[in-house]
Amino acid sequence: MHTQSDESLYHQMRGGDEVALETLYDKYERLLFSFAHRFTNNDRLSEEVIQEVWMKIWNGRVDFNTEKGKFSSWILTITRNAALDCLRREKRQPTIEIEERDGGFDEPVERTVMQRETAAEVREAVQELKPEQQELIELVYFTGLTQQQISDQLELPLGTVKTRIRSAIQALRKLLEGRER
Amino acid sequence: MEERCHNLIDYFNGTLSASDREAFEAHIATCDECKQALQEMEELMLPIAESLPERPVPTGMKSRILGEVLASTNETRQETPHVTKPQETELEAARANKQRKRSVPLGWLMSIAAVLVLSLGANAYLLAQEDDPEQTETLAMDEVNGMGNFESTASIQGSSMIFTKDDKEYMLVQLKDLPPLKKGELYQMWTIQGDQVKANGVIEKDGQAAAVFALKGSGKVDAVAITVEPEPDLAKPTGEVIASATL
Repeated sequence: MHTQSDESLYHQMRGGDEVALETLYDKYERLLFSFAHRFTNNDRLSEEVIQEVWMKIWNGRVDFNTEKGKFSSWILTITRNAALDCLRREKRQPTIEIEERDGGFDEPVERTVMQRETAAEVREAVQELKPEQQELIELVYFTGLTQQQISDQLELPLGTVKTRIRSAIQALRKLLEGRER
Repeated sequence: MEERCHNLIDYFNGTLSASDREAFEAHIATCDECKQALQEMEELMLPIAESLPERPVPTGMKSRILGEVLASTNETRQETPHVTKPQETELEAARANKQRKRSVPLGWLMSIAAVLVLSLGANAYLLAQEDDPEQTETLAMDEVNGMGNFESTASIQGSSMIFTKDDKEYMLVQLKDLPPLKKGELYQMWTIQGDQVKANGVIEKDGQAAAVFALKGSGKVDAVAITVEPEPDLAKPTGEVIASATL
């Protein structure tokens, strides 16, 4: 059992500890792969994204500190940025299919990072959002579209887009908080 | 709401230009609303990622990725070396090319001279770079046998070093402010060993130059001298000594 925190493993790894690197890699492998896959919809590109992430981390091209919040949020942000860069390189946009994503939530999954079962909780929380809020969450997190592009796609004024995104995020947060014990 | 607040989503998605990104980072330091909104978006990343259907990981992905990542360690360390212990392949290349004259940027060489002297206890290594910084050569030194600065009648500055590598002796010369040469002229290096003077290397450029020459003859080199000559490697100097370094 690993009882060491991600933060302490990270610092060991930055000191050149290859075992700490492997431990962190194992811990996040499946989460990062599934996450990257959600953007690329492609195994090979997802692997490239994850390799890029660990290259950056191992070689200190990105640096984590606790001011940046939790390690898990940070590494997902790095992965998301790498995935969006990859999409831009590939000049492709991921398919936006809310229904497919919702359907995908049904399968049972083994979680490697969080101890509690959050998949079902988030799925339920997302389903409680209004459809337009679900769409906004999808557009913001997984497409990397600019605010202008989102505004064009939804035929909404630029300022309205930002306000609605903010309220969708806050609504999801509230729903998730309500589910925590 | 400030104008900059509208950049939040584009900042989050990395679609801002470098200058807009910097401006937004400055803005977020003073705008609590944007700071909090960004934090909320980042904090939702984990639950959203965890809610995704799990994809089967391709076979062998871990060993491929960790293999590449660990292999990148050496590459990264080689990106910014100054004086460093060379990798084996570099050593082999250095051995294969050791008879070749190496030209290196002078300012860079000057800056490592002190480091080389400090490294004498261990092996001293010289990394010689051609004009293309990607093309890095390594020259390993086993022992430094002498080093001295040039004194000049013509405002030439520089230094010379005698070192051994694999039981062969070499002379490193680094010079700057070499006066312009006339057509057909060259700078001839001479080594002085006791009462013997030997032509030992030619530099055919003015301004700055640095080179490594295989040392001719054997025995302790007392001094290195430079003359301007019409031909390379004459038996005796015909021009006046314009610079010399006692080692």
